[in-house]
Amino acid sequence: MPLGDETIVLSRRQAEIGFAILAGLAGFVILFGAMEHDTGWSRSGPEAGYFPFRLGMLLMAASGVILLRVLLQRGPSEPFLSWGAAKKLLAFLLPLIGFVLLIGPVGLYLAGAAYLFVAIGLIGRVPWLKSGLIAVLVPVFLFIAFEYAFKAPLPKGPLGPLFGLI
Amino acid sequence: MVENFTQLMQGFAVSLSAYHIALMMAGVMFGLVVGVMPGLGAPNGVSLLLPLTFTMEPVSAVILLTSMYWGALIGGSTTSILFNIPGEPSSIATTFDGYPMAKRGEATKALTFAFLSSGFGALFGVVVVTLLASSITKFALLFSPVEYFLVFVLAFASFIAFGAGSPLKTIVSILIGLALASVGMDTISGSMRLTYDIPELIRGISFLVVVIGLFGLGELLETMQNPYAAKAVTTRLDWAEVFRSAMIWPRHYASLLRSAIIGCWMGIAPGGPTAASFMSYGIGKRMSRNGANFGKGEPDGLVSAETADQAAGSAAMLPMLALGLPSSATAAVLLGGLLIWGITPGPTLFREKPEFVWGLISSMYLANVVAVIMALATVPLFARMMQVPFSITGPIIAMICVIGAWTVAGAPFDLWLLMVFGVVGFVMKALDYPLAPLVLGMVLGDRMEDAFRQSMLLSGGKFSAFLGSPLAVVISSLIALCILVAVMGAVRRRA
Amino acid sequence: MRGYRSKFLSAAFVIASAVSAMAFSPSKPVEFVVTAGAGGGTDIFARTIQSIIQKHNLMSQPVVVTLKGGGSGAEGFVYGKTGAGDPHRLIFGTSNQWLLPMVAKVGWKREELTPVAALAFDEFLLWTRPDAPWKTAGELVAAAKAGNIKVGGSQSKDLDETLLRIVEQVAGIKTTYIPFKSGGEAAVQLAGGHIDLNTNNPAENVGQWKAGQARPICVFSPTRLAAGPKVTDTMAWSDIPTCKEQGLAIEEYKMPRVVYLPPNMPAPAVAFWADVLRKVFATDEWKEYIARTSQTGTFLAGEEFTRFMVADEARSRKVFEAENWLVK
Repeated sequence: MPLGDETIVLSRRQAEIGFAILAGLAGFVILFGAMEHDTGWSRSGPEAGYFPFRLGMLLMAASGVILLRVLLQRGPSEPFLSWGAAKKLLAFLLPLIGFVLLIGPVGLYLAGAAYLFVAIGLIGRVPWLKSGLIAVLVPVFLFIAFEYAFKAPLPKGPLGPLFGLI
Repeated sequence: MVENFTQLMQGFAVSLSAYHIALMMAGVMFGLVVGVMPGLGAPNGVSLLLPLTFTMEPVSAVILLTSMYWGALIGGSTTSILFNIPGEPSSIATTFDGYPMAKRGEATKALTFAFLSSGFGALFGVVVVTLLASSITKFALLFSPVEYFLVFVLAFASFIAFGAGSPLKTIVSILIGLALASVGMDTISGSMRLTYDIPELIRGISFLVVVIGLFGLGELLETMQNPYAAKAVTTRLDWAEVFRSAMIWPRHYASLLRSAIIGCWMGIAPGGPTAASFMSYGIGKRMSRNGANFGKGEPDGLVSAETADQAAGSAAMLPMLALGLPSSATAAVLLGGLLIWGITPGPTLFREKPEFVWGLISSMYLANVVAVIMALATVPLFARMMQVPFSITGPIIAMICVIGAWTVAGAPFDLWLLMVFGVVGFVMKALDYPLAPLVLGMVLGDRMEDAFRQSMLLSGGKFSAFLGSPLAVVISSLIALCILVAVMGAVRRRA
Repeated sequence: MRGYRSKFLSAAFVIASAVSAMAFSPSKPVEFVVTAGAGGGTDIFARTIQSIIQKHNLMSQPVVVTLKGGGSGAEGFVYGKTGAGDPHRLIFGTSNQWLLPMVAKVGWKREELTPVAALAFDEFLLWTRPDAPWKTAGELVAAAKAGNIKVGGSQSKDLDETLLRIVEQVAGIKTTYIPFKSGGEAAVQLAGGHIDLNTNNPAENVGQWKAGQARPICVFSPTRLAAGPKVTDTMAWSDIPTCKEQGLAIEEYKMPRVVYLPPNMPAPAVAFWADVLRKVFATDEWKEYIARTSQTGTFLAGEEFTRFMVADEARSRKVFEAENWLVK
């Protein structure tokens, strides 16, 4: 299987920088959230905000050091993500996000059937008949298992009233 | 002890009836199914079986339910090994080496090892329970929040200290885990922390959703962008292969024994199976001859995690009955079942209902043997799944991840969390941030903080409390030893 | 389009209200939402009702129990609120429903959920370790004035701590409160002698009492508990004095076990469920559950139940105000 386009979208250096900045931001958000509470140490031990406040600070500090180290590093960087790989990731993630979005209006089973058909047939290039069969049988199996056998209801959308289930 | 033995024999007289053996097989079978099914687990099994048991004798009912529980625990490791999706928090450490083995084409061996090791761990735990039944309860009562805190620190220290990789990145990973654990209601102050007025965050961030994202979805993303890894692996599937694997399994006796002892310790000292498997894995990495290969599909690593998990699970059964404190969420459901039949856990349960307690303990011996045999029978079936091309299994596994995340709380919000942690897991792994410390931080974070703050409340803010009892001194020394070993290791590597 | 849709909706509404004006009976499986963890008092409360409904065939549809105990039950109440208008979702809880919104930022208000009924009232007792020097509430108060008493309980700013603060205010003492995750944990810590006192419900501490690892001092009830067989060698529940008779002037402190429906509930649905629960309340199995867990069986519904909630809310608000717990 060819990897496709080898053009580099993201170098490892860029990815390291990006993640360190995100982790630092997360640290700031935690710090900010902890400030809603007492961050001190009372006579009976640490208050509610004591640990989260320090977690946030430490996280900012640690990711700051990682960021500095990467920035100070000289020399060429390895590739992190090629254009071909990025396309593959998107081809996997976008249908999955579509699936999650569809669960609300049409329920997990119908959305799942559509998702499996798109992901296996359209993107995975599995022959139509085979992918169609999988896209129908897997949700039907899950429907019987979850709704009837195990009574662990999943969202059903329009199927719920149709079968008289929660 | 002799008295315990006679009691146990009387217990066997109860559990060794054709009716009870049939119940065990039905329970194990059912447990295996719910354990393997995505998003289902022992809690669902208990809810379903509970109404059926209302007409049974309490002993029969509890035999059925515990058999289901063992089946579900073993079934849960199957998805960890095959798809990198842990069904229970306690089988996370099983993924570390189990999944790489399966990916390499050794699914049959990995599953066989896992089932045999969990059976061994469980039996070891039950033997300990039988021998020490009366003293375990007294021992468990020694644990105040101070000792709880130290037990968690010990688990943390033994896992982290023996880990490799960039210390800075490990720290970032732990911190993220600890922060995730503190979202939601704070036990000590009763206030909502880090919820930012978002209603979905009030119940906290679900551990299982994060883990399914980081491990399950993250792994899918990695496989996606690396097409060479995506080819289906051929694995030998015949029974002979199961048998061959079972024959070489006893060679791991050192890991088995060590992990079973660690598991029992963590089951009785109330650390729980999840912490037990992490601790055993961390120590195994240090002590095993093949420690350097841990995380790359080393059978010793799989054995260490799985044995300790089950040993802790079965050793914790006794404190649960005697104290009424469950060791895990699943055990809590089981405990709820007992209460509904009017069996009140407590120190006197052994005196009041000996036939019930010893019937249960003896059934743990039998049910575990039954569970291992039945699970082994499924190995070729599951190993066959690894031969289906990734273009088909990939989307199905993704759908399983979504269902798994949904069943945790039935909240759409969790599905978005799942997506986010899938991407985060992929990126962190690619950038060599270790994921295990994050998970461990999340498992132990809030319990450690609670225990620490409870200790401070009890002692009036004095740190001397952590050396305040003989037990605390012993655990504190073990922690110091762990740190010493780690520092020496680091120095030797530098030199 | 919009006009059509709203016309369609209002037509549907007319039909729906015409149907609901007649009578209600469930048309699909019913969800029992438990606002607590597995195996806790609320879980057993809900499952007992489930088993009685099934056994006596009080309703034609199956029941699915879901556990939503996150954030001290906040998860379950918020979930209940999202089911607005759906009479197939019952929420099982305690006075948490109206107390929690006062002390924490949560996503609902007391009056948003539709009250159905209260079926049981759980008692609170003062338990101490067996080797403690104090035998009565009076001796305990004297000891607390002299030294530091450590009290364990379930959660923070919840029923246990509220009761303890009331005791402190009434007796003029100060104690240290240590919150644990559950009453079960507080019972074990007391048995191990790590704390001096807890305020557990009977069911949470009876095991330790039987084993001689805990001793009841008094019960927060206007009268002694119902007579019954001996629990230990020498004592039955009815042998425990009330706190009031021991000089601790707290008339009553109980935890109601309550059932709610989501918001915007048509009256016939509320009436239907109140009727089912009333039938549950009358069964022998229910009486047996009440006796086994040493609770008080009292049935409150409708106006009476609402009055009780409002009164309890006002009383608790005063305590919370004094302790500076009220959330802004």
